[in-house]
Amino acid sequence: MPNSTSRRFPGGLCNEFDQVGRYLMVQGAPQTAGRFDAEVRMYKAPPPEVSTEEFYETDPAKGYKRGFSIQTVSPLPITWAEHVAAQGHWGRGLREYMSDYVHWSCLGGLCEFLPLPENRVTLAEERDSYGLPVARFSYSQCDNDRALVRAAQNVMEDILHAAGADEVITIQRYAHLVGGARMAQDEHNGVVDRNCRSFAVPNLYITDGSVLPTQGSANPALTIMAVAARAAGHLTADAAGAY
Amino acid sequence: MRIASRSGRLGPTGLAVLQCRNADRADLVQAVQDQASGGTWHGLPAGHVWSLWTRYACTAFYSHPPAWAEIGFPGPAYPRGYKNIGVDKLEPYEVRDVRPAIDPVRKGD
Repeated sequence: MPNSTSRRFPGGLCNEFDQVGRYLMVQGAPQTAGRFDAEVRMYKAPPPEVSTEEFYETDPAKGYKRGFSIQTVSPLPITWAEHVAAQGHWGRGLREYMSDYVHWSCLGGLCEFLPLPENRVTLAEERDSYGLPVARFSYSQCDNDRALVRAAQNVMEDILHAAGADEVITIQRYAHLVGGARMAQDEHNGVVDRNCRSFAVPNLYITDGSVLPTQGSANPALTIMAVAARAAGHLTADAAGAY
Repeated sequence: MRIASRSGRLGPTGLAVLQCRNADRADLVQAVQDQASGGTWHGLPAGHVWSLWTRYACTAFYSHPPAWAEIGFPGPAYPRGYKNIGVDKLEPYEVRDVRPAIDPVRKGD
């Protein structure tokens, strides 16, 4: 959309109010694993075998807004090697550490990062091999985001220790990029209306994760599909009304 | 970047990696990891190089059944599935850790 310019939209399609590309969001997705003397063999229970939304909603007693979900993630060998390598191991040491695979169990957090206008995609001066401008992605975490990731790691460590783990390791990850053409009440605050129809062009709908105004702390795929199905319902209702 | 050579075989012009002894190869690799927090390797961000290398190497190595056997992973669930899920429960084709007391995490304790 930023690259689709015209006399009406010199700053990019639907971008009359500088809203396109803003409020990008990822989830903080740290994963913490615990080592048990027993054989857990986590690979037998694919993710998410168990999940909790106990920490999902804003808790006024905490120093941060929104929250996170926790689920089992149970990485298979290749992905587990990434956890081990992230501790600095490589070569012989990594193979030795990996041989302990059946003793580990792994949890993952999905933290709801806040929508911030300065987290956005714009066009860079640099061009790709087709002569098109490449995307410039600007993203920074706010204090609330960092507090959520710390809290999620603490909860995962507590759960694993309570279950009997004597050692825990954590890797920092991020997941589920959404936002950039958010749904809003009006064109001054977003790009599409409640039916995913763009404010600027009545016959243009946007039906992917870019319309999400907040991130939530679950995999967004089902929400994206539900919103798209809802938009499709409005399209067909409009078409039926036209005849 | 100068690499200290344990075997003394790395001169100022260096050797092809395949000619190196294991100790020298380890020094070469370790030098990249040592720069991984903010340094550069041949003009590239060493942290990115390290992340890319280790992920490629681990993906290749842990794709092979002999590597799975080494860590106690019996292979993909399909088509057999699992019938004994739970702590210390084994499938008929799974083998218990033969050296359970060896815990790499506690090695330094």
